[in-house]
Amino acid sequence: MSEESDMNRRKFMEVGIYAIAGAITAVSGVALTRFAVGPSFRDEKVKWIEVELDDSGEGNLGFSRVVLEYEKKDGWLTTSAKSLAYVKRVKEDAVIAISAACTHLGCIVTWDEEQKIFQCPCHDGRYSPEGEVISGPPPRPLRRHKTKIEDGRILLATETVPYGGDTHERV
Amino acid sequence: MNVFKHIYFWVDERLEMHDYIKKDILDKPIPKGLNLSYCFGGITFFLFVMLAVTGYFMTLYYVPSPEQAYDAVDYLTFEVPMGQVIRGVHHWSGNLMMVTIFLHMLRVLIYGAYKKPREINWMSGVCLLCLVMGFGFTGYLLPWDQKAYWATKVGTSVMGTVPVVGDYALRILRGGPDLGALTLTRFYTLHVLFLPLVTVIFLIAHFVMIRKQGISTPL
Repeated sequence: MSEESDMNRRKFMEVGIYAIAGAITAVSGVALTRFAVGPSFRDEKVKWIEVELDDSGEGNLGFSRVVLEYEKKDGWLTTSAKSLAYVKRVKEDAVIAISAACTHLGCIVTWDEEQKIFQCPCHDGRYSPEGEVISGPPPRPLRRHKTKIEDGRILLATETVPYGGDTHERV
Repeated sequence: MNVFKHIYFWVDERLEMHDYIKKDILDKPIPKGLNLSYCFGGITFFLFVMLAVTGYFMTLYYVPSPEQAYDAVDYLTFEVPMGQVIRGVHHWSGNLMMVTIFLHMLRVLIYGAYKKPREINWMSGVCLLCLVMGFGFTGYLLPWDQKAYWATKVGTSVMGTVPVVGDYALRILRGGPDLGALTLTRFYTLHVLFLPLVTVIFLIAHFVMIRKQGISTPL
């Protein structure tokens, strides 16, 4: 065999080895990336929870303080989750439910009866009774839970939407 | 592509690694007359790399706790995308590794490659065999299912039958008289921290020695 064809065979083997190594790396790379990303973009199924309003007139200007308690999947665990909402009936067939999760970094705001504002304990974000930002770092008004009324029962969704969105689903 | 070449040469101009990588690693000549049976060591190393990579990724989901281990393994296998593939590769690489190690040792025995001056490399290989068996033993418990539990119960009890030191060995291995949470955490730590570190050290020694002494040529 001439020297030239020997070199070609050598080159062929080299390219072949790199191709196989590249294929293995690419295939495992895709599989490993999918595995590592895993459930990161999976969202919890929305649950509807029946609540009862405290119509005694106390609380933030006609709002009732409502604690939503529900079961939540946390990977392989099932945990109980809680979220706080301020709920008010605005019409016979409509309620609004303000989420107490601050839009800055998610702390739970508390109602200040004297100043008639919501105040966040973390960075002093302040909101009006309707959830609009008065001062502090919050970038947006308090979010609203989706709500609906079925046979006179008030249902709140575990999902919240930005204020201004269509929060009330008619059934 | 040009960019990568540019970066490569920029780095190489400073570190001057190109000739070394080319001549001593990628284009390193091997003796004439070698056959496929000389590949088993390399295949074993390949499987080790696969095990390391899949193992690293599985720690994203695994929890070494008696309450959660089984559910976490079930979750990472069936709920996480590619879970069955990743865990399957780990499982089968582990099984195949014992086969390829056996064939690798058999070849070394048949060709007499363990003889002077390569006795130390043979010894390091025997240590690696023990380490791999340690991986197998500790990894078997981690899914925390019935098979894992009873296999480890039997395995550690066998240790207890050794005269004089048996009971000490059993207790140290289990972290107490009974198999439980303490056993699971120490098997986990052995499997993912201690054994890999020691194995890598032995692997480096194994490879450096074979490079220094060269492959033993066929009879």
